[in-house]
Amino acid sequence: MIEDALLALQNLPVSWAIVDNLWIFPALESAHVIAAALVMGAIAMLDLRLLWAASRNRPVSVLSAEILPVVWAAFAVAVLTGALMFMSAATHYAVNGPFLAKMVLLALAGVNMAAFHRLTSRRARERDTGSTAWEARLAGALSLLLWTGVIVTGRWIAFG
Amino acid sequence: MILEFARWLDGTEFSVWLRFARFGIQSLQTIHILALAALLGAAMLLDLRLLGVVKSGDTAAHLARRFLPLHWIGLAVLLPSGLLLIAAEPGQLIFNTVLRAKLALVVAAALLTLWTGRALRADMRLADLPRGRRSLLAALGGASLLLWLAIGTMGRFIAYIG
Repeated sequence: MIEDALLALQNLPVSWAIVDNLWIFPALESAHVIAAALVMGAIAMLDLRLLWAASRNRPVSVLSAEILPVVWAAFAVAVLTGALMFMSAATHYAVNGPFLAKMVLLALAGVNMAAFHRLTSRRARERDTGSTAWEARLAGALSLLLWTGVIVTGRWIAFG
Repeated sequence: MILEFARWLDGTEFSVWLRFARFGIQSLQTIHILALAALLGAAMLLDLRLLGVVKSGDTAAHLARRFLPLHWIGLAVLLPSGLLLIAAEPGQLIFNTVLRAKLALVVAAALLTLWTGRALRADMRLADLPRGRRSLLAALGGASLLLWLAIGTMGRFIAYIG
């Protein structure tokens, strides 16, 4: 049943357009890499703050407010371009090891962000000033590791 | 002369090792992309402020201290990793027009970053700077953003165009 769904995705007109036209896939991929780099770079700044390694004079909430809009916009582009690329060869990517690993890491990164968000909204004052709680450091470290993993596995897709 | 250099480099053991080392090129590309991520993140955040899209209460000098070092650290990793990537396949890459264009743009972007650093030498907030300086910074920010995005895009296209 999953295979039918994948085949259906692959046979959509937009998927065929991507396959038939030589420049669409490279364009999608380029936009995807740029967007992913932006997500990683912006999130890294926030993570470094959580790890108490950078921007110490800024409250976490202020830094978040500055950085998250960029992250969301870039992430939206990454998801959209990624989805289009996936659709163009759904059955191929669905069994590609690095691709599956990347999806798992993405999911974990998302869970990590959600968990941190929930945890710290209850301790607003604590996270804004002074050193951050161990949960914040853990979230920051995990985030850096997971997003790096996303980019590394992403690069491996073409080779795996 | 460049052709001879490329051919010589192509045949060296170093180049062959780079090409066939297990995960050699993938690892270099990954490092290259991660460094680009650091640079793009800093460039995006700085340039959006220079363009006035994001409001900033920081002084110009503080913005420079906050964001410019990441530009240079990024470049410091991008250049050697990029050179090694070229060294792995010099025969194919030295004449790649997309790569040449990209390198030219990188030089331009680096010069713009130097200029931006100098223009940001002021202990005033962006909004308080004289109009001429504010406009210059906005132009530099916009140009920088476009350049880095173009450079990143061309980087991917190197693989697709000879």
